[in-house]
Amino acid sequence: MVDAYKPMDAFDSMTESTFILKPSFTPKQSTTKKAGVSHPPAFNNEGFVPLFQGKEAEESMELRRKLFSEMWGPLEQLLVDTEEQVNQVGVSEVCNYVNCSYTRIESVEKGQLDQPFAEMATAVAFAGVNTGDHSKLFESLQAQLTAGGHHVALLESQYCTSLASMLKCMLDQILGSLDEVQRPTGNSRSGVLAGAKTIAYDMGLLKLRWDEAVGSASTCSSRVVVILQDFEGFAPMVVDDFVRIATSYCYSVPIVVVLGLATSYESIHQSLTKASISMLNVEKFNLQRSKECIDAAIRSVFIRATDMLAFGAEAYKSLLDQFLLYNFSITGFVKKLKFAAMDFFYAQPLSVLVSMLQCSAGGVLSVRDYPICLSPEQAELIRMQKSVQRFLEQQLEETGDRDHFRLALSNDEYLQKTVLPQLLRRLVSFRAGYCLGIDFVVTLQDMVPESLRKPIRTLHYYGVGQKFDDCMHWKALSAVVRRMKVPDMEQLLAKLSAVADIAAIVDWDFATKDGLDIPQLLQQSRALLSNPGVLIKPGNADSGEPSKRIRTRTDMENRPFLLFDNSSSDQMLSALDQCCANIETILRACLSPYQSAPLYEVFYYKHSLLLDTTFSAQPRAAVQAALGKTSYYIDCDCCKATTCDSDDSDATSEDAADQRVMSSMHDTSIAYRLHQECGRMINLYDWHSAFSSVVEGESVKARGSSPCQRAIQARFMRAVEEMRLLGFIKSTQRKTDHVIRLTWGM
Amino acid sequence: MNSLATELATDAPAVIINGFFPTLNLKQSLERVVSEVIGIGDTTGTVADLASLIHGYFDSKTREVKEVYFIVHNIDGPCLRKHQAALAVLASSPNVHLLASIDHIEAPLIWDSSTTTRFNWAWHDLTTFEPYTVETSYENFASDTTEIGPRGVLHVLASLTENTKSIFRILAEYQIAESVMGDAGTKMPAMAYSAYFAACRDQFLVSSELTFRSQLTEFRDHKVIQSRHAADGTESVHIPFDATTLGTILESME
Repeated sequence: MVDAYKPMDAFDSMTESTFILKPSFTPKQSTTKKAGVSHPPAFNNEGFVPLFQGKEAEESMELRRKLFSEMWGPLEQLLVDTEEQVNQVGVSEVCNYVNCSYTRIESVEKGQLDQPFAEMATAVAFAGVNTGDHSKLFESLQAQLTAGGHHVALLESQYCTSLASMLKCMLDQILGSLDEVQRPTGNSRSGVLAGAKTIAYDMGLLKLRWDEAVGSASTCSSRVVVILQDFEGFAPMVVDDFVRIATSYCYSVPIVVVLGLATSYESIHQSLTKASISMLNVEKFNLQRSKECIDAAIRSVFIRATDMLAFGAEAYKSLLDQFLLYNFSITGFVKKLKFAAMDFFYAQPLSVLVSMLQCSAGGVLSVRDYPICLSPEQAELIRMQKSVQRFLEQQLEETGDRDHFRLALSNDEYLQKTVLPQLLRRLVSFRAGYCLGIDFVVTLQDMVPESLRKPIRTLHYYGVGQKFDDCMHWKALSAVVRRMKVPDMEQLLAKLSAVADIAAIVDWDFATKDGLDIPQLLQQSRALLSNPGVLIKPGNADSGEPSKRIRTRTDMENRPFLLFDNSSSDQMLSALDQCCANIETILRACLSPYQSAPLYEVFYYKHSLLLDTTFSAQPRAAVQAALGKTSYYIDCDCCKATTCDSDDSDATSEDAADQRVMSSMHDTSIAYRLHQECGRMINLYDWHSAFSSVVEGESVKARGSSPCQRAIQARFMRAVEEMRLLGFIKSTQRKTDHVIRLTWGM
Repeated sequence: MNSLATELATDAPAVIINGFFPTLNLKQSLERVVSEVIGIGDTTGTVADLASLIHGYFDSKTREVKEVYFIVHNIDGPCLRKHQAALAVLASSPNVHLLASIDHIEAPLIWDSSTTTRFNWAWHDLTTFEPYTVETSYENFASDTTEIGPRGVLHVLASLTENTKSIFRILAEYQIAESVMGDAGTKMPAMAYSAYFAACRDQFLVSSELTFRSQLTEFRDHKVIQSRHAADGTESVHIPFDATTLGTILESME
């Protein structure tokens, strides 16, 4: 028993809650001090540690670090540029609107009836539910508007809790922008304004400064743009007051308001009064392009194949689910991608093989000529991969070269100089073939009805996750191809040939399964269509009526064009048939599963569980597993149940073990299991009785002595307090000796 | 987690905040950070302003302190729950490194979409079966000084005269009777001032209103009773405990 309370460490205090530690070591001192400390210098090398239980060479670790930074920097920039490019369309539309706003008022000003009020130009921009990406989007809008000569204020709801703070935020930015414009003229008032603390932030000040800045110019093309980045976050009263005030000044100061909406136009109706809305001249814009963004990102990262970063089926699904099921956030997608890349270089010893690949100017991956120096552990790890074993056995079958096989398995130098480049060439060619296959599918989709078209992220998911013959989408596309008439088929073949010509694949032997030469096959198909007489077999007479060509059900399913096409001859139809089969063969060859490529275990990232647990928080599941199924965390012998019935399967015996409450378990775990049997209100005395009976009942049998009542009571109180801290129960004032149960299930 | 601050994070200042501390004042903690780490004294403003100030400092290129580590134990602690937006602003700076722990099973509910994006959490399950000795040691800490426990009331009453105890007993018994007869779950029954004075005078416990009022003031100073003013101006007093606790107190008094 601990008599006196002893602090756990120096930061456990009853009076202080915050501690500040200054770095007390200079860099020189820290190295000498750390020499005596047994923990690893984890923050050196940005967290990279030697693998193979510390036996990895320093150069190898350094190489992994270098490769990661070389790979991630350009990739991140590429993703940012892609996002900006996709958003550019929407942003330009809003900028054009701002440029053209109020011009009609200026031109009809003279000699026309003056309206008693002026409608304020308002752009309602639907930015989507991915609120995490909005800051980049609106900052780029702000930058573009500022470059166009306008004065922009970007307001966020967290800083604009009242009308006064909102006006202050807005005027700070706009007056600052006006001052910058005026600074070349030497306006000395700007210094006073910046330092003065007693400025009345109101629109009159804005009008004054605007008149000074614009001067006597009759027309002014610049506008005052106020962007409310997250409209739903602003208090309705604040926005309503702001709109009322701004509309009364918009005749003298051309104010344009941009409202960033995450949901729908309904939120404007809910926040603003009818009077305010009637003073707005609203134009709607759609800035929500997260799906186009993600498609562009996936194309540039996974389909272009300029880097070897590839995801296996489950990991890719985890990436997509994060995007599709959560909030369409590109930031979340990039975050997961970065984590996967980090995990690849941190934890995979064979990630050093990436240094053997290089990207040429044409965006094609190839294998470098100089081999990498492998350590014995790395070489052994390569040999242990199933895909490498399968590759070597295949080579042995094809060539019969037993010496090559023996050297590959025994000689490290032979492995790294000869076998490894062969493996990597195959893998690179396979990737190129896959990318070509996806390009073919995209080309084909342009010629099918809208309903059959799938976005590229889904195509990639089918490509990595499903076999060709099992995928419904590939089958649907094949069926459409089979229904094509001759002109459509010719057009399709021409397009596919053009795509194949652009793809710079050199080694057709390895690019596809069975070494299919795709350009040649496409050429043959085109030739066949233009000259179908080649295919005619001697002895097959023309069958005459088109309807008689359909003899079996298979004919009907596979060749429905036979039914519809009365004009073509038998030869042409056979040629069409052959072309369809060729196209199907091409697609099947290109889109073969990645498990057929060598070294796929290294280069296709597969730790989807790690990605899910790192980015999808499940604290409740973790705590409930820790308390309810403690064996997952502590695999101790004392809590393993002895099953009486040996015929039970493992699953049921494990469930039975989990449900039994044993005295050897952790106190909080016992309390948790007992509380699960209770209803909404738990009587603390009953709970305590059950707890003490569990604890002392079995321990009497086991050890012949039971802990004393006070000890059991203390343990129970500690367990109940921990349950309260975790959030399973809370105290109630209605019944003093009861607690309320807060969680159900599990 | 503290060992990360003391042993590994030695290249930059580290700030350890115990979120489970019941009287944690984040404003004061951030003011300390600003004055001791950044070196700007006499800062004023809300928690959000301070967080923005720190964020702005670590974004500027001409700063002396390059990085800072924040280690927050129990970021879901009761005093930190309403400051998540400010902490998110802090964490969104690339030169501020945040390590936090949570224990409550529903902790992720305190973050909305924008705070989650700013925090950019990477989760790790570090379940140890260590007892929550430190976090639960503050159970009887007087966090709210406007409340007094039953033990405190007994202590106060023990030092008072018999008359004063009887005055207390009258109000306690009235409250118990009211709560038994009235609905459960409504506001605590309170006795009107005039009725209370009349009852005390009937039992010769007080002679004049002045002494009665001074007695009530003494109770109020010790936080034994609380008074309310109704809309029509009448005052009523009550003891801030429920009937069962009052019963226990009365029994212990004798």
